[in-house]
Amino acid sequence: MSGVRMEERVSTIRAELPRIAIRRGPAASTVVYVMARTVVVAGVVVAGFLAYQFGVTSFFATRAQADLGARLAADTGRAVVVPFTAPEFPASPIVVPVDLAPFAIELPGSAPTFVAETPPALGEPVGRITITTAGVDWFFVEGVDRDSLRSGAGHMSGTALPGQPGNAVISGHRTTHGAPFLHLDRVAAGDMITVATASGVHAYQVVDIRLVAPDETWVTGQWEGAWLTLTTCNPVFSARERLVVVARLVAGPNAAAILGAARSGGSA
Amino acid sequence: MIRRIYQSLPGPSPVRILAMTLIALLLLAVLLVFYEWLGTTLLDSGGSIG
Repeated sequence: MSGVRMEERVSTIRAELPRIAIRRGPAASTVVYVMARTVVVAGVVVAGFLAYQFGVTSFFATRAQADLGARLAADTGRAVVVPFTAPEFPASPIVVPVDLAPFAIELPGSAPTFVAETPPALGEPVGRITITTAGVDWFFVEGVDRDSLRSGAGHMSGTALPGQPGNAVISGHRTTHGAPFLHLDRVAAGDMITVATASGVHAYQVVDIRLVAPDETWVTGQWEGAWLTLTTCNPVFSARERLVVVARLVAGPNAAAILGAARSGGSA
Repeated sequence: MIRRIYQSLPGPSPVRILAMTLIALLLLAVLLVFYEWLGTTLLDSGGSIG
């Protein structure tokens, strides 16, 4: 190839370049531009989601705790001493491990006292739950609807209140809204749970831990004796199933009355 | 896109700024509702049964 022909070819290509740039450049850069924008927007949305779920919800739940404590302390008048009448409930389907039963509770010779408690309004504080082995120390409210659970944990309306005969169900967040039940999986059979309500401080002993589907409503049923059922999401970062911890009442202002009646009836 | 929306709005600058603020607040509210729904559906429903 001679030098002249080479120069002609170079000048021809140079002449073509703007047209090539016009034909190919904008289309390719538009695709890259749109993709880059989409990635940035998606990143911002995901980052916002994570910040909201793990930061904002927990901030408000933790802030609500201080308020709930003050409101609970001021909440008097829901508890009253009455003669105990055992409600008619079926026996619990929960089998207490052999090495845990029977719990040595002393029953008084005379008629034991019983402190009845009426549930507060939806969203109002019910009590404070403490589980040392799971790092739980949290005020919980009445209701397990979305709004009530913004403060972290709630008592399921329609189930017994803690310390009352039947099955008291408390549900709590495991990942968001302060994650009060984050370490509920650390609880083992035999561990103690204390729940302070308007009727006093009630002690429960864990007897069963299991995983169930979110629609297995039998775990919220009312049973003879006095039980506490805690439910939370499982695994962490997923609402796929529920971790359920069942405990039985072993001490408290109403233990003698409820367990005495249940023993004469044959349960708990 | 934000500039395009701003330019397409009628009226003087203060009105446009007010409209843009309202649009931003509306989008933020929609985004928070979406976050709430997504969080309770996939991440953590609160552990309630039924």
